[in-house]
Amino acid sequence: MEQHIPPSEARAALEVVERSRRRVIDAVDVPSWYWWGLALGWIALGVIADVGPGWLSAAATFAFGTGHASVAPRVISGRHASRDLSVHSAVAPAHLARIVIGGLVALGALTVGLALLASADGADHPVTIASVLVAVIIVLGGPLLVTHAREQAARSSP
Amino acid sequence: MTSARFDELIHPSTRLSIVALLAAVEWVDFAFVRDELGLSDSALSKQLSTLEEAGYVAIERPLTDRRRRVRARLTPAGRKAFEGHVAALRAIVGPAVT
Repeated sequence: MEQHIPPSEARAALEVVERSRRRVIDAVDVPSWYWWGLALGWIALGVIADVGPGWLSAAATFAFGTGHASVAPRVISGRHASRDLSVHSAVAPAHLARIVIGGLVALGALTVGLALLASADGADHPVTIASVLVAVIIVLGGPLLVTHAREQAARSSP
Repeated sequence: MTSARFDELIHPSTRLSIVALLAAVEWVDFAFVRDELGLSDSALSKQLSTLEEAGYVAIERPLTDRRRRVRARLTPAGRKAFEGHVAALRAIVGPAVT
């Protein structure tokens, strides 16, 4: 049968396949509530670190980490953003979750660095200032990161 | 390595769009497929029924949010047939296509 299919028709069929794949890639996303929750949690930890006792800061950090660990695995892969579909693991950007986790570690280090700078500059609430700056990066940068990962997935061959 | 096998059931354009979309998901809601591909309810139902009868698609009706939803997913046989069909199309087009 395939001998009777001209290459132009086969090429058109492959384009149909690719269009369908891209429709699904467009549905890959990390919900905005995740970025906002992360940013607000970051600020809360910063405020507690500045004004609360050490034990409260440690407990809040533990609670934040535990809460994040329970939510993140399902969210940051980008495969379950919509209730209408579950993206196949072969189609979703494979490294998105790793980049998000790596980015959070880097932002943690950035928060400490900025807090030290603010403290050296005599700021009253250095960790709060640092965490607000990092929270802005999370809210603005998170969606950009997902867009970039989506574009990379679209460019890669299935 | 997927063996190339042209599949006449999958090849028609509308059905190929549906199967290719299903191949990219674990499962998908009926409404998503309908809206993305611009099909009517009846046209999509007809195509899914054909694919279900061939054993390529499984239809599920989970009860979520207190309303009945219809989800479709490719069966292992459907996925294998789709991958074989794509391999056959690539073989026809030539080695330049990845």
